[in-house]
Amino acid sequence: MSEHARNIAPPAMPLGLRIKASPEYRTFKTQFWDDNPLFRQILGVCSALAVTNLVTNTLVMCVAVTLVTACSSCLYALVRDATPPRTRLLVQMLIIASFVIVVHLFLAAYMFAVSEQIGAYVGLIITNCIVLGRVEAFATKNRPWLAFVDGIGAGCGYSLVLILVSLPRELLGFGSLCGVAVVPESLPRWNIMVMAPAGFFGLAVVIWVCRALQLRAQAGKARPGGK
Amino acid sequence: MKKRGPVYVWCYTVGVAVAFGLVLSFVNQLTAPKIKANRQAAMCREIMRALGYVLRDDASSEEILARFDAVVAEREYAGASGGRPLVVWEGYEETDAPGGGSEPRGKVIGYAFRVGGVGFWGPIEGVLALEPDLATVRGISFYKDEETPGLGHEINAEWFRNAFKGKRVRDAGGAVGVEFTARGKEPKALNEVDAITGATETTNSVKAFLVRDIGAFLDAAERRGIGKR
Repeated sequence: MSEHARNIAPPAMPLGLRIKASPEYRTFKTQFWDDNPLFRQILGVCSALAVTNLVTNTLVMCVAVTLVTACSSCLYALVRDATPPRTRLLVQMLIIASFVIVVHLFLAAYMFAVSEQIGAYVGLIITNCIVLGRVEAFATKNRPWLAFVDGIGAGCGYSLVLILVSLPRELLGFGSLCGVAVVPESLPRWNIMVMAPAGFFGLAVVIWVCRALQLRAQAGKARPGGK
Repeated sequence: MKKRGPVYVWCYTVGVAVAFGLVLSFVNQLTAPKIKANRQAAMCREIMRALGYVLRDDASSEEILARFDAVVAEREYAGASGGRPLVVWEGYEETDAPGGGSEPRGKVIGYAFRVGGVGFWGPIEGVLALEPDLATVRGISFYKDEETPGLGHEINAEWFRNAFKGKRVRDAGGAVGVEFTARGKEPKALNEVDAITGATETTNSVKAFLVRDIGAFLDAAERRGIGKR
């Protein structure tokens, strides 16, 4: 290589491409969309059905699950080298349960009304397969920062589905969005939308649409000339 | 120390458990006073709502508790209902005059007491307030229920609670009883209230425990002289 060629700096990669090439982006996108915990892995369905009849409750649950998943993954990744293999699950559960209890206490102290409505389901985050799944599958093998991003991605992926399910349920069932009345009183309310069956139907429709979009995107890539 | 050795495993496990226990104890200590105040305020809000006091939706727990102490006095009557003490909340007229003590003073505007029973899905608990004549409903409020949203859960709706206001607690024959009739059906008797369409079980349950608890309260009131001060 000539001296001149060595002095020429390689063309800078556009910011968008640099972000897309980063491990953080790929980790986030995998959990948020490609391997979404709800519509690809069918995990965390119980709470998805239970809290989605009101958007406010859904948002609080989403933030709680995202924080618990991200913080648990990050903390376990920090202590994993020191953790004896035979106590691995015990320590993981201890970490997850502690974060859930902290979230539960803060909700009861500062968002009492919401805590009264979804408190039981917040406690059940301990048994949410998404949280333990990400800690066991990802945090045991990766750096704390990347484990944190993975947890955020899984939490956001879970939130995406829950919000999509909750919007029509509250709108049609209560005639409101986040507690603000948006549908005239004269229009009848669909009581079924606030009951459990609507959660099943809503989740099924969202899974169907999201997976159809994924299949379409994959077919587009497989086609000659597809990106 | 070997990472897989039993001593390390024991030390590590105990250390982690103690560390997390300490963190949780600290957070619990930090939030306990606020949570306790929130729980008390939630109960006080329902009692005041039943007694007809108007509260802002965004009132803080501290504001609710301060106002409750200023206008409501709690009285306990031992052995009044089935051996358990009967708790009665006396609501007083709000006044700007200094009370001159820890007890609210002035004219009594109503008496509130707990009502509750088994609903369709789980327990229902609430507070019913009567006017000083102990014959007319001043208000009702429910602070716990697991009824179906949109159906039985409508017992919390304003229209349902308002339907009780001014209703008599005895029928024309003098027997204690609240009757539920189809919503919108007029005219209604003095002890008839709009039912919730599609929530027959919840309505029947509310009717049953109201009759039982109002009856128990009126018996105790007769024996203890409540409302005759």
